[in-house]
Amino acid sequence: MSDFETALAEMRQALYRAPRPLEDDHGSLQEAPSTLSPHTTDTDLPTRFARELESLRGSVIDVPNAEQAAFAIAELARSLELRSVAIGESLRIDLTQIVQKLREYGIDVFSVARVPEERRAELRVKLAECSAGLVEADCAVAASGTLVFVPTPERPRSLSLVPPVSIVLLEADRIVPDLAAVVSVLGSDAMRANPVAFVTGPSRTADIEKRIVLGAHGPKALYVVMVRSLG
Amino acid sequence: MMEPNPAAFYRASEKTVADEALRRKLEAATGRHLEHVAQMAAAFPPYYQEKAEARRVKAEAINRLPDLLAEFKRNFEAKGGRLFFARDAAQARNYIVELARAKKAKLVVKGKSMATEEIELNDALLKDGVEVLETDLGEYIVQLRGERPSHIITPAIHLSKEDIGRLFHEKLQSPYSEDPEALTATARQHLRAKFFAADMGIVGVNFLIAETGSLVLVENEGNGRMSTTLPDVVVAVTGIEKVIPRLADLSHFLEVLARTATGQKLTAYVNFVNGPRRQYELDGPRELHLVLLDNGRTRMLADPVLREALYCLRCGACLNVCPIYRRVGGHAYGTVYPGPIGSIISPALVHNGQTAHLAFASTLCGACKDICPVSINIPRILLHLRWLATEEGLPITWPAGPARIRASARRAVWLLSRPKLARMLSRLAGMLLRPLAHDGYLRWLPPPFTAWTKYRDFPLPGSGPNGASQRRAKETTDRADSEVRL
Repeated sequence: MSDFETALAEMRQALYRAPRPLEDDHGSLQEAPSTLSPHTTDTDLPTRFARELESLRGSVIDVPNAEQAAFAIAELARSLELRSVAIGESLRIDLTQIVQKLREYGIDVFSVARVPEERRAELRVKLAECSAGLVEADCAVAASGTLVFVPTPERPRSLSLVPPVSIVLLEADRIVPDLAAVVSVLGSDAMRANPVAFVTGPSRTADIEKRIVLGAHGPKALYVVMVRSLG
Repeated sequence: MMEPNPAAFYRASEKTVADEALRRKLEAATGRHLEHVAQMAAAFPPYYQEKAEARRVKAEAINRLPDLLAEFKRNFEAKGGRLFFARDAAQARNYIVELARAKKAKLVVKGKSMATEEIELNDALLKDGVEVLETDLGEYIVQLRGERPSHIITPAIHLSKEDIGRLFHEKLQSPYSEDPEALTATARQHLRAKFFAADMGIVGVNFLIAETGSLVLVENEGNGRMSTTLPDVVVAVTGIEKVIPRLADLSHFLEVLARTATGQKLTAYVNFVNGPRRQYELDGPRELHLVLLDNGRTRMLADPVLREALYCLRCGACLNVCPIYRRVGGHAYGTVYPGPIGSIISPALVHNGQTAHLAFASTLCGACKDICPVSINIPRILLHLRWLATEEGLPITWPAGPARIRASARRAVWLLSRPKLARMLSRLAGMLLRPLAHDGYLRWLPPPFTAWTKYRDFPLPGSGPNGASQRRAKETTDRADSEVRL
């Protein structure tokens, strides 16, 4: 028997020696999770999402379609004086127009999607020095203002982590009421295989006298461009 | 670091209580916690339902622990993770030190992890010539000071912004500032380059999901995500009790954890670590290791009362509401895990009997149980540990208090060990004092008891709840744990 198996046997022994705890104290031990009703009854999920995220000092830019998203992002990039923007591959919202627009504005746009081993070092440095990352969220949670990313080789996790400014595309239809709904929207296969991240507002700390400071290690600013229709 | 013992705890408590500045800092940091959680719960009606769900899942997880760990291991290894089971702290330390040696690691960045504090990992790595950097801001601050965290989730709770300003000025040669924004920016700048240069990242874990083989890290700063994303080798260290059965269970914990710990709806980051990086992936570790730590936890499992302490999510809320912690601070306990939860888990996890006295350092007020996101019955476990310590005759010697208190205690012991006489005197006092009582309470007592009634009313002896409990005591000849036993 391996150490691990021996240890498991000891744990079984430990549990066996003492009977299971009282029902009233430890709750029912039935396996099936009971279902709670959704935590928000808001029918207007995009509005709730925006309100929650803004209360965490994130910004939401509401646009009707992908074309307007391109304008909004280019304008944002200009006002923030961004020099370079890292991107991955498109998810649902086509990035072509957006990239084109950013380049028209004289901003360097580079991709970190599907990186061969020999280019990793170089692109890591470039990502560390760029001014913003642009990536689409796979879904979002209205009740907490949370963005959910399912990073893949096409859209690596550093995109929403390393650059000081994070610009996130979000299709308004992909907003779910609460955290419990995320699993059903993404599917457990996606959440089992990829380095999924739930991101709720800019990176923050309250370690000094409980004062909230943004940009502890991750992005200092978070902009969500919410696209109402892909048409 | 002093060894924990009653005398050291007593002296350290006295010192903190006398330190006006430190008390103010503790009060400011913990004082409004209950209020914040209450406000948050009022704004989120499903809070108590979610707490009950989280507790139900934990009860199930601990009852099925061996099976869930086996399932977790299968799924974790299927994705290319490597699991090492460590029976004790030394095995865990050796595995990580050996690994650092094999990888020729020079620099390690660490995410926040109480488990690595528990196994005293940093010293072992430093001794082996590896530079170890804490990256959580609070942990980074206490590391620069050569201290231990004084709170589970707010490690630098005992320091003011001025303390930290001076520290950074001295150790990092940054211009003096006491502005939290500027201080955070200084730390960010110093640590940014280290994340990219690090050979190894070491992190703690909040949840292991058996069904999917995932590690889940909950944090606010992004340093946990950096530490698991940028270095080539990532080592996660966690206790066996962190496993939960299913992915669908996770939301119950996420709904209560941040709300209870910090009053947030959700932390800024919840990270899933699902195996090493894949082909064409820019980031993620080439190797992912998990050190699964027992270190006394199976002993806790074998005790049906203590077992419940394994539900703990390490949210730190019980510290914030504890009247003892709030007066004496985290360092006084002399243990890695301070506060109410520390008093019940330290005896099994770390010090082998040396911390039994901490079970007595509690008023049993129950605030910890009420705030706990999984409603661990901490007062009951404290009573249980007191009973164990007494049964086993553990030598717990408190330093002598002032002579007057010693004398009163001697008289009380003399009287209370003669229950018949005590009851008779109590009834007699009740009869004599009845004319002075209002609603069963006395607002004034004759000397030498006047000092008591100066600050609080005294229940009329032999009546009310007091009398009732005396009648109960008469009927029950059992030892003191009768109300504790399952």
